[in-house]
Amino acid sequence: MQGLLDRLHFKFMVNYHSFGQLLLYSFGWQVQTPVGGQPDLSRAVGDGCQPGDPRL
Amino acid sequence: MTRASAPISTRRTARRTTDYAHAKDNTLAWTPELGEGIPGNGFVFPDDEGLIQQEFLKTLPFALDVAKSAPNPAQPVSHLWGNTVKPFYLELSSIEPELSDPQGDFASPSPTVTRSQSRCSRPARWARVALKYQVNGGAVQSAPTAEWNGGERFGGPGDVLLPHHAWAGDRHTTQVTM
Repeated sequence: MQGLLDRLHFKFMVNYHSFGQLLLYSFGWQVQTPVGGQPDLSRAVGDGCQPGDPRL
Repeated sequence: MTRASAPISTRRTARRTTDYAHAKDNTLAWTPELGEGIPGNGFVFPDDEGLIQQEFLKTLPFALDVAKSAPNPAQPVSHLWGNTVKPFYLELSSIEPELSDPQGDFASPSPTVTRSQSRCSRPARWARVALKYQVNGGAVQSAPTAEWNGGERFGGPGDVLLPHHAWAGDRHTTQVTM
């Protein structure tokens, strides 16, 4: 897995985990702490304040 | 809804990959937690082709959104945009007691739900910051600010920058109230 990441330098990653009704971010052991790149993450899926949908 | 809380150790396993990629390549990652297939199965998803296919199809639209958004992460696309789901409120404490901070509760936004009702919180990192000011008791003016690039930066990969915002204004005003 590390070799694949080192070779392809992904922009986004979806990392499925079982199980729970949660959406986690990197460095997510702290709740309510944004991660670097959070603006792009929030733009895509929204957050508790604002939906991602730019028309709303 | 009740269920056992996920052991911290299993979450840590999922994180090692995303944290590594984030620190090394600035890869932005989501970790959606999947369903349990059959209620009560918890972490052991049933070895059932039908249920696996169902779970796969449930996650597919978001995976495609992410793939389509990768060429330009600042302008993402989503199959959900334009939906008309009614506002709802998620009381996290009844689902995940260890995350029962009310700040973590989620409310779907709606014009009829005020910011205070929705109890959301948003770090200033990506909020638009506007300067509101008055000069000599005149009308309130509003001016956009830009992130200040000066100052000393420190930290490591994955750290979050808490920005200073600056506004280059008129230096000759005599009384400014912000």
